[in-house]
Amino acid sequence: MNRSTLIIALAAVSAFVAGAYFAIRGQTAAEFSVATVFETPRSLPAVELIDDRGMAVEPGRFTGRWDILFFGFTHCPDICPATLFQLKGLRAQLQSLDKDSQPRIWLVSVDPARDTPETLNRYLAHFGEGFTGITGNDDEIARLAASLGVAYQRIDEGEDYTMSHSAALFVLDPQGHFVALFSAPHEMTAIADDYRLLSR
Amino acid sequence: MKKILLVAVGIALLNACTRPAVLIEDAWIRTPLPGMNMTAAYFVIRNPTDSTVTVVGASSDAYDDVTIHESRVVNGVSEMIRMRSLSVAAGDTVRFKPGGLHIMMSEPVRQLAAGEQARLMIELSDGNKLSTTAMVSDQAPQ
Repeated sequence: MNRSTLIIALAAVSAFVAGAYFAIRGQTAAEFSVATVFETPRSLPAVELIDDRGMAVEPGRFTGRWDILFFGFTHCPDICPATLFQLKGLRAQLQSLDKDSQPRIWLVSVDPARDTPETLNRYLAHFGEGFTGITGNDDEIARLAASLGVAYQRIDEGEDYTMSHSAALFVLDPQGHFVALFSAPHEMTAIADDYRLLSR
Repeated sequence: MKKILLVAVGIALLNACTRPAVLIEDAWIRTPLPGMNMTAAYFVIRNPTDSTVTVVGASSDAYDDVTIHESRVVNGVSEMIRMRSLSVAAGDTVRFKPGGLHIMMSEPVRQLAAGEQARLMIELSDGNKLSTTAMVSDQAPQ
């Protein structure tokens, strides 16, 4: 089993377990229109990653605020920019909330070989305040991804390559626990409504 | 006889002038993000003719490498499929949009910024080429 297959397999198992869990628990969260909300928040593993300023993403980095994680990569011409612009729109929709209740947006790179902190920093500056990139070594990215049930895979295209990756948005509460996800396709007004409900 | 011929030629010319043609409309190019040598373009193809047309390629004056792709979300995973050809049935409209069909453009000939324009061309299997002007914008123009 090569590494990519292993990542997919791990993520698939994780997604299956999560899926079964959501299927059992999800019905109690009927008040949410698009979010899958877990009754029992899930902890994330401590990972050794860095942000787009080269600062360590230490345990506790995801505490104190609501966070939305999206897994993607900068050499992605369509779905990643589209989702990031949608998230920029989401932040605009949620501007009426207290600053502490507004979500921070994190782009976790599934292509850390090309997504250096500098590349991510320059790229995300286009989306304005509230966006932070995460990169690091492959194994640590894979560990964080697997803990959230995120699947991704490198797809070779001649001398170049692209990445397939989960299109979902992952929500962490101010304790840094994984509490909900939004599956694609994303309708940001519905996501904003669910987010307000979730974070109140 | 001459009159009949003239009328026939006239009708043929009138038909040629009024015959519906395949159109590309509402074209826009995503503003290239900082540091990236690629972006995507979107438009609508309308085929009001009475026969299917097949798009076999695309090009632009702003990028050297221009290909048709489709983003698909399968089991929650987004993947990009290269489209070697795309059929548009008679009377049909096909929309290229973020998260779906798109024109992927890389190897820039010149740098584009929001508010600028560039040419986009598509090539049909019958050899015809259609051209339009696309606005460079962060999001689809309203």
